[in-house]
Amino acid sequence: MKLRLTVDSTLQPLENEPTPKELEWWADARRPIRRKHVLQFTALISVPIMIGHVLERGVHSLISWSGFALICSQLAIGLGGGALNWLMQRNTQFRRALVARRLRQALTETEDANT
Amino acid sequence: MYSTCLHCNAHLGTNEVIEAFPVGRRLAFDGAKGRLWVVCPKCRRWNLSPIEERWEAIEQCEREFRDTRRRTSTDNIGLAKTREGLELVRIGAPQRPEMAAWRYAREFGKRWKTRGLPLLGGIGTLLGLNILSTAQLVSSAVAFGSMAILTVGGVTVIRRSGRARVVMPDGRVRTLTATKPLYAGLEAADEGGWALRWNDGEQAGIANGAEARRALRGLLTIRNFQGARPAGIRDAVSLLERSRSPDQFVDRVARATRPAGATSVFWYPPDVSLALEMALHEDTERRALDGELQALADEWEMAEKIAGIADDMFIAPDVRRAHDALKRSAGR
Repeated sequence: MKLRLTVDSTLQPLENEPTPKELEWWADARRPIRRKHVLQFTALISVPIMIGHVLERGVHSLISWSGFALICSQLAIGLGGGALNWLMQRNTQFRRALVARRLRQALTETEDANT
Repeated sequence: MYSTCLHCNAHLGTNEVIEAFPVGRRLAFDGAKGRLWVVCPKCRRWNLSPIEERWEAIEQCEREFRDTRRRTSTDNIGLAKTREGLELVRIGAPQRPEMAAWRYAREFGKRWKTRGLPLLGGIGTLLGLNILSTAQLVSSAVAFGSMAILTVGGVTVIRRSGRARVVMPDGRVRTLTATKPLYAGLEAADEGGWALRWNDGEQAGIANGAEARRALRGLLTIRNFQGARPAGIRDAVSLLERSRSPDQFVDRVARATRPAGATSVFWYPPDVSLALEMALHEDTERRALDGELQALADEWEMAEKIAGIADDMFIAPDVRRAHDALKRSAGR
């Protein structure tokens, strides 16, 4: 898998390309980050609208076609927007996580060398 | 208690901080050995206090030392200046973990309370207004108007409070904000130590020494704009603790950044950038007091020899043996 790491204009290309081991690590690590992204977006955009709707018309209003349509549309907006946001930021997220991981590893190694 | 120096007869001065021992403007103490000296302001010689007047005073000195913000330590000697002006010289292993945690919890915690929390509160208020508007409990015009005012106000406050003036390595002063930072990163210097590679959009270069430290301090203030919660501060302190000295920590980060791809301090993880700011702060204080600490260490060695002889002079050998046994059992 070849990841483009220079989409964001503020990013300079990495001097050391990600190793297969690091890509494998990212395959696991990205899931929780993606989930967090999508949920945050949903919570910020869709949930307030649904709560407002319930406050105005009562919970029973959700048990109708219009209520069902509202839930579906809001969830689609929230989850879709979150996913889009993730897609746009994934390179930055990958770079940030990779740099943090490499930096911590290097610090641990120099610590071992010192001790 | 005497009030004049045993060596030069100069007045030792008074203090209102240590109630049990109101003599002297600079006190040196060793809690483990139970010694307390008054340092003469004129000849700088150490005057050992009478044995019966020490204990309570040493406890108060230890408390004051712990509670004083302006302090610095080397491996076996620390210097603190209380708000009243009394200087305390503490002999013994430094209290670095708790000292760093205590000291920086205030600083970064305050930033979190004044910047991070209001930011979260603002987001919460925006969500609340959105809910109220959808529920038609407030009119849309009022809700969206309030949201707009809140957003503009929030962004303005963030920009203003997160602004720092950074003296660039080339001497120019740049005003940086959290949203418009300067790209600069640490790297290992060819001649040893570390250097700061910077690029402000107009000019670029590499800085070392005092200029680099000054610029990096300003950048880290922006990077750590929101402060940190206690858990984040603990992580940073534990990172810092794993290096022999603050300077060595900065060196380690500098060596690690290039292979890691961290080309700017804004890419460093929060714990590393917090630890860096702490390290630079400690390093600055240590440099300011370095000469003084070395001189104190020399004076303490001499004073300790005299104190050992003076304190043991009137103690019976069996009492001394019992005292040593008690100290051993207490793990000192």
